[in-house]
Amino acid sequence: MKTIDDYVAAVSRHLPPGFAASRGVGAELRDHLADRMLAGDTEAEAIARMGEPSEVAEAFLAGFRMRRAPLPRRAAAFLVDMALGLVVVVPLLFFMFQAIGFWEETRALWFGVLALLVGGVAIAALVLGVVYFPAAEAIWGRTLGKWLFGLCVVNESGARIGWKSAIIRRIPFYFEFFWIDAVFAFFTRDRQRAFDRVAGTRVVVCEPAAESPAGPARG
Amino acid sequence: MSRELKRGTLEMVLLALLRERERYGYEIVTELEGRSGGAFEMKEGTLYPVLYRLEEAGHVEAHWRTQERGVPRKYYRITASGEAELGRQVAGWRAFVSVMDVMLGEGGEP
Repeated sequence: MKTIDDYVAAVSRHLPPGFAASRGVGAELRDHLADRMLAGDTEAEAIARMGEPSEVAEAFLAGFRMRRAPLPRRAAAFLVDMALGLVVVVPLLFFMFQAIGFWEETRALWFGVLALLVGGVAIAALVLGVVYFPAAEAIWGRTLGKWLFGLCVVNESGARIGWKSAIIRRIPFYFEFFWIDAVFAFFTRDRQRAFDRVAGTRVVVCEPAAESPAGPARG
Repeated sequence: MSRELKRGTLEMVLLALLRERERYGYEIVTELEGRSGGAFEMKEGTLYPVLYRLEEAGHVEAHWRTQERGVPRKYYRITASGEAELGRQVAGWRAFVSVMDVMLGEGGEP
């Protein structure tokens, strides 16, 4: 943890999207560390006094109850994410098959090359689609669909999830038993799918990010 | 002082400090350490979650003020609800100490 900015970023990374910004956590931690350095500590000493970023983040989350995501909003977010994939992949596949058709008719080389290129892009898009969900949730805490509906994926304590949890909770999608997995959400207290429980994750309502509430001088 | 004891009394101590006057986070930490002779030394980053919980509960309120060096600073002050909560916690603590004195043979009836 080299600098104050690194430390603050590390604490924020453990918190759900928007949590730190909406409460001015970064500004407050920076101010505290600056005061420590004014009192004579080096940057490293000041950071060491604060505690591990994960420890500080867990302490923030310990007192907050995050509202579970309503099922209709989760469903809508999922449909948006699936629609994104279809909007990208379906036209590519259409153009690929058109190009193959023209090549078969004309045997023109460039139609064949075009079909290969478009096909390659379509396959890449399919692969990206497979990794999109776990990657987006591991890196940003949510997919685009979840972001549009103000949702995010967190672990049991409310902290951001890592790659392992993000992949585990997606397993039903890859092996086509998603619908069985999803039924569990109707019966669990936090509306967790079966593999949410296995991964220790849940989908919650995330507060929107807001500007640091540093107000004007008073008194 | 044990970690559990510090954790269990930290809210009460914070409210007592804020009852004196409004303070900001670093000031609270140095005041805690100074007055307790180091007994209340803590990982300083974990102070803020406790302050945020008190704020969420309505026992303290916070406001930002821009300092001379241009950096905004968040000040906390106790509310009426916080005063009442502090009174309740102090009464509970004194009752607990009385009982422990009896149990340990240090005093009379509670």
